[in-house]
Amino acid sequence: MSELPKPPRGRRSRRRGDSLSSRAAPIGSSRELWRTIVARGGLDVERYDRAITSELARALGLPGPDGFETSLERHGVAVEDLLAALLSAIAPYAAMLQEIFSFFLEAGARSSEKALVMRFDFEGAQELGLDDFRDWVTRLDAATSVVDVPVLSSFSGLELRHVFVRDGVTYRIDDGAWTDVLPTDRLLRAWLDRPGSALPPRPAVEDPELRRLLDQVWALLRASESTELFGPEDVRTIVGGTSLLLAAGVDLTSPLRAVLDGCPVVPTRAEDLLERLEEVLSLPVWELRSELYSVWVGTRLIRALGESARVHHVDGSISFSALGSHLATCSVQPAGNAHVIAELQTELTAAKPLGKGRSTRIRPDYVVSGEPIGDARTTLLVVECKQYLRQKRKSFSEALVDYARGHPGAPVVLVNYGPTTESVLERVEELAADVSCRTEVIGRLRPDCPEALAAFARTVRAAVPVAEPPAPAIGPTNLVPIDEVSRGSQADEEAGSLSLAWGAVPADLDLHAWVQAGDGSVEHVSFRQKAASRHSMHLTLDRDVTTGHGPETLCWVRPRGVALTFAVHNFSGERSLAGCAARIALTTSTVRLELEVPRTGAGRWWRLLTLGATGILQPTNALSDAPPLPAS
Amino acid sequence: MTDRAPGDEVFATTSDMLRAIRESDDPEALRSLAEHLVPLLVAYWDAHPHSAMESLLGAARDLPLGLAHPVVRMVVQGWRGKPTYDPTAGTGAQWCYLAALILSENYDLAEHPWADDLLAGTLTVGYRDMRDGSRKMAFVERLRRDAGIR
Repeated sequence: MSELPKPPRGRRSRRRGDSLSSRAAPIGSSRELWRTIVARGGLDVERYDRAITSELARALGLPGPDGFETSLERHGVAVEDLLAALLSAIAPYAAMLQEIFSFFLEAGARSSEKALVMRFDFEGAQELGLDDFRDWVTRLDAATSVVDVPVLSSFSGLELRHVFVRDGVTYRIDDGAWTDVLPTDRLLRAWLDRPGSALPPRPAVEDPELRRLLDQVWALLRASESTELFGPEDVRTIVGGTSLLLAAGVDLTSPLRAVLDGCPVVPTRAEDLLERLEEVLSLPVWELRSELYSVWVGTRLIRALGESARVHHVDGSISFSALGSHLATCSVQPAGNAHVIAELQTELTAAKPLGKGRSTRIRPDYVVSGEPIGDARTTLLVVECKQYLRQKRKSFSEALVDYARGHPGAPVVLVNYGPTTESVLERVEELAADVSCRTEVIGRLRPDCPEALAAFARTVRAAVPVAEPPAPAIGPTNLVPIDEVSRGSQADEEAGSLSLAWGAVPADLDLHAWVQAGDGSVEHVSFRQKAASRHSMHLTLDRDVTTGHGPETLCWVRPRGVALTFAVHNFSGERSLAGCAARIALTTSTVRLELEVPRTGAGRWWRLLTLGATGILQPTNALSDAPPLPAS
Repeated sequence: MTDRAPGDEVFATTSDMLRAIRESDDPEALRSLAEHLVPLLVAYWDAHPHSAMESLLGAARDLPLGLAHPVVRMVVQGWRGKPTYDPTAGTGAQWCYLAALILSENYDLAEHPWADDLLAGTLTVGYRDMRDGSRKMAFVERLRRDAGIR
């Protein structure tokens, strides 16, 4: 758990009528507002909430957390700007809470218990039920969305909805019927299956302009219950479509600008922002925010182990206890299980602990243990969570060394809410060169940083050899031996499909296709652009699976004179392609072919085959460092 | 005073508006016309579903796709709110209704099996001189491929 000091419980209890927004006199300056928030909202800006002050200073262009109050006045920061920045700084907590809620929801759905609760035992027992989380998610997410809400007519609402509808990306036509494509994200799919539950948070995007536009869309979605601008199906279309279109690399900025930028907006009033802030600070979960980060990392850890990981609950309670909790189990290769344990205590006997105040009993946030549990020699992975906005080189490096020494042989990863630098690992090298190769630091591990999330998932999958369930069967099974195929066969000039299936690792393989026309032009289809339609050629990729197994399928109809080249890319790269049991099935009206990935060779590209312009099938079936044609 | 049959006025206004849509290239004017067309087409159902379906197809063909989509969707939602709504009410113009859904990327609103019976015939119609014709024809082509129609 983060080593931040904990705020005293109940310090935010306020007298009736003692609210921020109901003061007799209006707040006239950002300095006065800050004082009011600190005094009445219960912020501990010197210690516990210093991270928030730092983030605020950065967002407002102020020198730093020291002398923040004075800086507000000196730089003339407006009341509205301070409120907006404060709510934005709190926003990642809303996203974390949403993910914990979804995790909780899924765990409950898998168990026979109807009334699953989450039990926190860090500072006095607290039991939180599904309804608590649902309520907080909704309120926190709504409160932290600081946007000027556009006013849309019903007509414009449908124009906006249409931005999120795209042939071959958000829907397909199957047997004469419109079929919505489902996003690959499990959390989002769970939400789409449960209409009416709290709206998922707006997807993270780096482009500030697109972020602004999507914030406006999300504000409209939230308001749709009262405005009736969108019905439940419209909301599903927009939320699902956003995910699919972003994954496919489709430009959303231009069409959203075309609809939204011409509309009048209702600016958010300072009083409303103040009310929202008060709402956040009064939520019980706000007092649990330190624990929240650690719990969120735990859910990410368990998710990274794949769908086969079983979450444990006792009498309907999932426990996050300072005394140690067995959270989940999954099967590992070659045999046995891996167990995710929170706060597992281990004796550090090999050396004196470096960390200040740390005894010989070490207790990292999470240990993924093999069997027998509790024997440090069977530890597969150690995860330590820090919730600092600025890295603490000394304490981070000392924690890494202590935990690495206490778990000989296991990789140790320290994740931090804020950014980190290489200097932490350099310090580890200075302190204990013998363990440095087993240590890793991942900074900015938070819901709005996809690169850090992917890095963490890769680390978990590399450390824990999760047993792969059998790969799903793919399509046709008529195997054409390679030597027969290599002589060339007449491929169909009309329609065809190519499916890819694989195991749990690598988690993310991607099908790629290149469409080569007679005029020399090449169109590249992949998860970034899921459809090709030039030269009377129609080729679509059905989905982008990022969590193992697949299948992903390309379907096409091609005229004569157009060649198709196919390859598979090992996107996540946790292990090599060679021998990973991935296989493809090609079907045209005259050819059926299955290929399994070669058992030897190197490179992240598996070059499959080419269907030539004259219909000749030219198999390659080899690994390479480069794609068969330039990737766009 | 000349006697006018029920629906004459809405017919005349709708025709004028569709003509103005065909003749305009001004995005702002087209948008305004599209928004004003919606209540007219919704009301047209009460007078003559057959003609209303034909006019809906006219709107789907002649408006840019970005405007055709909301117009057709709003009109269909309006029709479905009427107690007299029945997709077969257009008799010989039912295919126009289905074609309007296809060309405006509103095929998710197609009611099955009503649409199944009409689909093959609707897909073999020659659609020419449409605004955003290539995008709209891509929807037709997709359905043709799915139905095995060359």
